[in-house]
Amino acid sequence: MRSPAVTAAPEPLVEPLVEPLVEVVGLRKLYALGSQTWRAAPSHLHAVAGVDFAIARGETVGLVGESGCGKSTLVRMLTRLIDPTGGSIRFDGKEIGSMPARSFGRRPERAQIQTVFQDATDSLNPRYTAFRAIADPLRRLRRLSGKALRARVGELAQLTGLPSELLGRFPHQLSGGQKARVGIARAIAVEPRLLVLDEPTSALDVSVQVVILQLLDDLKRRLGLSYLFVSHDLNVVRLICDRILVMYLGRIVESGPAEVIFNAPAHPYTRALLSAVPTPGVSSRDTRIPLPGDPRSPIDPDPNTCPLYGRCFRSAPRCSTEMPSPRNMGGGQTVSCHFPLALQGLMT
Amino acid sequence: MSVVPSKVDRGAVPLLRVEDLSIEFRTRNGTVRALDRLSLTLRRGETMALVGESGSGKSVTAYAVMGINDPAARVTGGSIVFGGLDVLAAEPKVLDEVRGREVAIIFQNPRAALNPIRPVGRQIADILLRHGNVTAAQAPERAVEMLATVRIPDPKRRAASYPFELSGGMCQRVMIALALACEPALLIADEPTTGLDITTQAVIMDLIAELAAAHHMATLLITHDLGLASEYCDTIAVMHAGQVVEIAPTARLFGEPRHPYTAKLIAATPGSRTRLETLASVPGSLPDLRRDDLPACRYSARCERYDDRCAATPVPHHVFGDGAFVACAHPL
Repeated sequence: MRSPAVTAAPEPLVEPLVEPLVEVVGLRKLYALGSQTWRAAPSHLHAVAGVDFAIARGETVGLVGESGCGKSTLVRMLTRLIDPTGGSIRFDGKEIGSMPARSFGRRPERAQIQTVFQDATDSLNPRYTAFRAIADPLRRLRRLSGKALRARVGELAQLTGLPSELLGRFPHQLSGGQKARVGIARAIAVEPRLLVLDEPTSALDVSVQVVILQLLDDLKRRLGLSYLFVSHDLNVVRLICDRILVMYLGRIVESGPAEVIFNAPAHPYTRALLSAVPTPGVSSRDTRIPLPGDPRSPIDPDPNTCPLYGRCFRSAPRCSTEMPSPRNMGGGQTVSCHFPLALQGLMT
Repeated sequence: MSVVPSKVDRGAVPLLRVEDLSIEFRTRNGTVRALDRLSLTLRRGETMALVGESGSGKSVTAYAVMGINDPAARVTGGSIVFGGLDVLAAEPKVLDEVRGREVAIIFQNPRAALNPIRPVGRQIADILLRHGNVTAAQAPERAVEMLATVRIPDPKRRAASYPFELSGGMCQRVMIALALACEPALLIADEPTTGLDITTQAVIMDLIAELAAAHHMATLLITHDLGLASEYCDTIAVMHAGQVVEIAPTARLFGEPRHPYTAKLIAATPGSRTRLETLASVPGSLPDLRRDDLPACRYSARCERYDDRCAATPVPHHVFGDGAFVACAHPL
């Protein structure tokens, strides 16, 4: 049920500007693995192998991909929990990629980027009441206390549709939807500009999922937030995102407006991913595009081979000798493939 | 090892009949009325989905059919007849022969369900030796064949692997190989693809569907994902708070749901065309099943069509020709 505080959807408070809020260029994260013999050069696991993207103000960008594709590593670099190996992260015109993750928690930028974690049950301290969970970032980053703190927590509870009489409860006394609201209230408490949503509804029943998605959509407009929405549920991503980034093996293989990605995917991987989504009342088994085998190893990958080579139904010799570079498909769609799928290919 | 003749008649019609099954759990905080007069039937080769929110009693139903309920569970009424065998009255020894051979289950978290310190090939061989008609010499070979059936690449080498050496999708394939080793008549799949990637989910579900069809096996798929249920099942049973509220052929259930809860559930599920504004949540939440004064229709407190006729006990069942039914005083 949507609370009365949330149903009204006023116009966005922030005018969209030309300059993006977040701009990521050539971002990489390599993990060194122990070398096999002590003389040999150590091998590296390329968790994120050079990605470029931007998030505009007020925009919701979806990041999709399968487990192990580097989504989490990318998100942790962006939220400055780990340090990148290379590349830059510009936030509001300022380079934050070079600020050490260890001390980022004490910088004013910490409040600007916040996260709503995947499982509200696991990400809430079981010994903190809902009030304390929401108050904690306000105490640390806003130095609020006493009356001002109580007022702000009350305001946040109202904003997220959490009945104020539940603020004294512990996580185990709250339902899944209520815990999700606490997680959201905590994340928006310090007025961030960018909210990273890491599978925010994956632990919820469909009956509750809708309400939380509508709440997030509404908060974005009311508070002028930008979202990076990480999920593997493509039916959910489609509902809430303006633009989609499709990640595979540490790279963004396709990006573009949600409408375009879902109706005319140009990368074979995107198409395979979409064809695997079960949809109520529709059978997609006959039109499914298989992805045989396992992903290639992310350890010291061949820089001249397409990451999807070997699993792709369009694999050609060129795919193993030349890494496809991003090409512009028009309409904001970019795809890294030598043989992108044309629109008519989808209809057959 | 000689094989004890089975007490289960695979030709029984229907293969599985659950009638008016009620189960409660005695807990320190009161008695949880987990299942209330649950009825369903499953024919040979039929694929049925049990869908509902968490806590609606899907897994309890599956475990009851396997005869593996928690010690705190108490059956307060009803019957389960599987292939002519009365599961609730059967001796534990008889059930031991039935489980694994006639009915098998695929659990939600394969890594937790597999033995972590035994190679996967050996685990399959164990099942074969226990239930199948194979000698100790043949078992390892048959285990490798089973791994090949579930399309594990290089099955001979993989048979020696431990679960931690395999990916989630691979472990789930091993679970399927284990479940199908003795070609059961009924396969229960309890959220078999939760936690797996969407492309892996498609491969695993296709594999289950294909093997079920090849062996003319009945499948009971437990899931909270209506999309998955609609893609793989002939029939869908919708559960709410321990009650089956509606059973219908898949296309009909989506085309014209008859129970208000089914309609709400469908309207809340994002599809490939829905928009955020048009999705509607299901108001309210599951009732506390420990209450002594649970209404006859446990959905009534959440229902928009509620009126005084809804208090009638028992809830009127409208039965349709094709085995479909709806439990509601005001069906749509």
